[in-house]
Amino acid sequence: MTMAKREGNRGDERVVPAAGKTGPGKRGEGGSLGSAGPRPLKVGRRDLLALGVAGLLSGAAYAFLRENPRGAPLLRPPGAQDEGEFADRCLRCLACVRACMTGCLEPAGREFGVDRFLTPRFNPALAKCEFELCGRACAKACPVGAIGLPPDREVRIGVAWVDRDRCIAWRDGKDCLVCHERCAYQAIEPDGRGRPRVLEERCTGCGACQNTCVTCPDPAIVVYPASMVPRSGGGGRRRGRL
Amino acid sequence: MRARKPTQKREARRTLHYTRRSVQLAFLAAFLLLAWAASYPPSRYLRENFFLRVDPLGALSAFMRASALLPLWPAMALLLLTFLSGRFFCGWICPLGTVLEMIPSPLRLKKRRMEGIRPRGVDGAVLLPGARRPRVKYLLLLALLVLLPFGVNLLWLFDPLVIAHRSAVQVFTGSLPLLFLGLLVLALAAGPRFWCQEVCPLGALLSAAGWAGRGLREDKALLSLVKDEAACVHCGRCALACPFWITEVADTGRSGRLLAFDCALCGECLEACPADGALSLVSLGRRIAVSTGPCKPSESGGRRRDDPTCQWEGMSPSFEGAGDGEQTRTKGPGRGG
Repeated sequence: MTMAKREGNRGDERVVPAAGKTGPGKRGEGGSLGSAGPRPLKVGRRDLLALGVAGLLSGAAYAFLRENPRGAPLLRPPGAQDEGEFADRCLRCLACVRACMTGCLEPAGREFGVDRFLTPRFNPALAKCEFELCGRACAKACPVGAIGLPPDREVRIGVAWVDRDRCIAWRDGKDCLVCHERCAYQAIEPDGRGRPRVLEERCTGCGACQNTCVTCPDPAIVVYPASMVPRSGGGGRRRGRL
Repeated sequence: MRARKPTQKREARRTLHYTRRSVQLAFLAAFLLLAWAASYPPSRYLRENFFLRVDPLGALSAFMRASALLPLWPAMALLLLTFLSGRFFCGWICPLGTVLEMIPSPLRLKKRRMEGIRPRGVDGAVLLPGARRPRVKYLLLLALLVLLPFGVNLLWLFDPLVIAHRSAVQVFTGSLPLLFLGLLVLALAAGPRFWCQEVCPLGALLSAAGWAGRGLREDKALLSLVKDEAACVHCGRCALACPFWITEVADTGRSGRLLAFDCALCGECLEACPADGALSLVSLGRRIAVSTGPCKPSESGGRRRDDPTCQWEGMSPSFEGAGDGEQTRTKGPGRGG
């Protein structure tokens, strides 16, 4: 291919000599010159189909992923940015879910709405969070920094809360302190009558208590996000279900 | 006049195709390996999922809201390479694109690819003016980027690397990657690369980066598809072979670096081209692959009518006249002049 050959343009050079300045949004830029006069804009089948696909995807997401206000509390991985920023930043690639050591993370279900669907959810029912042992695998896996790396003592995933209507120690006076025994932070201490009480300032929300609670089918001690903790213990005022 | 044997030609053709397939599959395997190896304990060597870091859309969305600057360099590097060459990422690397490209396409779709090409006479003159198309993907990209500062992050629905990674994790953990399955169905119904070419916002961003580098000549560009219009016989095989359904290669009347910004530089057109030296892949002015074949343009330019292998391949009704010598010869100059 010689230069002379290359410049010896034939073909539609005869039809239209000048190349219009075109952007990437226009068809036929650069090499493919328009015909004489401006080329008409024509919406083709493929454009309509592309519009349909994009519209259908986002439309379906917003139509079918309605937030269910009675949904379970949405706990985030340890060190996550505060909820608003986290939901904005998270790409929902599930890298953290894959990276978790204990398998305590799961993609949030559709009951959390379109803004949170498929974002990582810490579910203590699956496992407790071992943020002091795993080296923050989830935070290191996150490609957009939605999960930060604060020091261990500043991690506060949520706060445990005892449902006194369900807890067998509170309700039936049984001799059960499994949650107290399991807690690594001495955040659950028995009161004078051997009933568990949560010391909120010590609780990290690691979920060990909830994970180990013997009450069936739902645990009587539940970790809530710090902003969602019910004010008092039980009395039919539980805010969520699991 | 060098005459090549068809067998030689075929061998030469397969080389680029298989090279690209190998590269694609290697990247797909690397992607899956990285996604797999990301489980606990973290591997000593595969520390980060590079595919997620190289994603300019993810980096952009993080950058727009992050207080701290994130390590954006892989994404910047990809944008720079795209600026210097074109949208090679889609044709050679993207794991989602690789999977979609393996989807067989129904034959009836083949006819439709030709719709964007302006019909030409035997002498190569354009018979009818073509039409511009609005490109939905650019609008979609714009909409996604505009929505980002308002806290609406729809990248999880549209970013191919995020979709691919999420689907891989979902498969590993035994749940159903619904969006991925939907894309497979879309590829079956509308063509393997329909998503990549018409919807994908990352593809649109990379196309735009390629457009920004349109001023580079082929001796400055890292990778470019170069056409020699003088050698082209206007048979349309390049448009039929293109997995991205780009018709510019066939449609253009110019020689030199093709400025088709949707081109993923995969080289399938080059392999399908029956004209010696009409298409080549060039890196920094050095040819790395070139089309070979028996076809030569006739003395007057345009395709020779005596050789059936070099005739127009198009199947669109509007082109049927273009294959007929008598008809087009009378029509061509009339319209063109």
